[in-house]
Amino acid sequence: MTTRQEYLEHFVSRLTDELILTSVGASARELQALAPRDGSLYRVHLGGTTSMAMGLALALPQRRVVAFEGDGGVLMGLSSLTVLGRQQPANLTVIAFDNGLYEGGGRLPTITSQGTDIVAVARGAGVTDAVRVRGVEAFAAALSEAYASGGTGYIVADTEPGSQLPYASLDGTENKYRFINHIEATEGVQVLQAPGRSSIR
Amino acid sequence: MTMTNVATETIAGLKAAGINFVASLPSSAFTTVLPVIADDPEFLHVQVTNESDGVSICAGARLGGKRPVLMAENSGLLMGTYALACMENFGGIPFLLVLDHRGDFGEGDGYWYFPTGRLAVPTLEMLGIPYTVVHSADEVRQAIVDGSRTVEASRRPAAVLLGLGVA
Repeated sequence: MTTRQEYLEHFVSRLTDELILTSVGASARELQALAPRDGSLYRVHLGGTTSMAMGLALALPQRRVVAFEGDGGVLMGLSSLTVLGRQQPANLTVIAFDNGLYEGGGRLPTITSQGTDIVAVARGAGVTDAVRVRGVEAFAAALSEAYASGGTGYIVADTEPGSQLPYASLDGTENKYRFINHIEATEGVQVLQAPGRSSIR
Repeated sequence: MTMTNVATETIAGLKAAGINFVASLPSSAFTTVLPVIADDPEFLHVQVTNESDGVSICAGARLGGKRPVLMAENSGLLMGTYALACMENFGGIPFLLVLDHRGDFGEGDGYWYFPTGRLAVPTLEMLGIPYTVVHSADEVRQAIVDGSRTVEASRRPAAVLLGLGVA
């Protein structure tokens, strides 16, 4: 079975200017170690990463947004799939690592290891392009297809548990401001109002 | 459907505040306003199915430069509490909450509004979210503008509760 790090190493090898959001958990730590950059926001709360990435993708429809989830986070945020199925932003790709475990919570099993298929749930919610992959080659093909498609890409990758990479010291508030500054610089939008006289009547 | 006074004032307030992104779930005070928002090209409207998702979608939209509002019944505030609390991991992300304050003092429609309604204000205070409660449709426009000004200056959420007498 393929590890999360192997999937991420492939993703990083083709990474350009995507805006990335990761859930809390190992993928945040691993992506931060493999590709530290201001265009990534790490450790969105469990169950909220897909929704937050969807909001960002809807706000910036010309920019590629990628959300990294785990099976525990997807299961917690199932209702977001119904909204994703209706909105289908073409610039959003969700990558969910399914290792069947709450790896950051004592390695106890999630219910995906007991028969729940989050690809079937996603498709039933209207995320019609949802696919399951096993191995880097299949992941690479699915990623290419997701980026080229006119709908939201939703890739569930069967993943070997385990993590070798270290924690980074970046704090969430500093991460947010770096992320915002990066978006302001690359998209020409003003995200935060400068302190001073209000522009609101 | 004829626009009610609260609907007209809500739209006017949102536009005066520069709000251009609306995530919502229905509540009785929003019955006529949400379809109008959905059809108005000045708003990007996202119908959500859980207020927690609405919090996260608004936060993401804000990072992309939108000025979002989450419109929901106050019971939805409880659904969104976890997501709102977790936004502090990023030092807060600014957007407005406009909440239909069912179970307000004097509510006569049903006992089921009170268990969550009476928790709305303590929940906002627990989360450190500034708020105001309005009781007339005529107060709604200015309350939304004031709420947005609070959001922008504090760089964190603020809430407008539409209390009894508004709808």
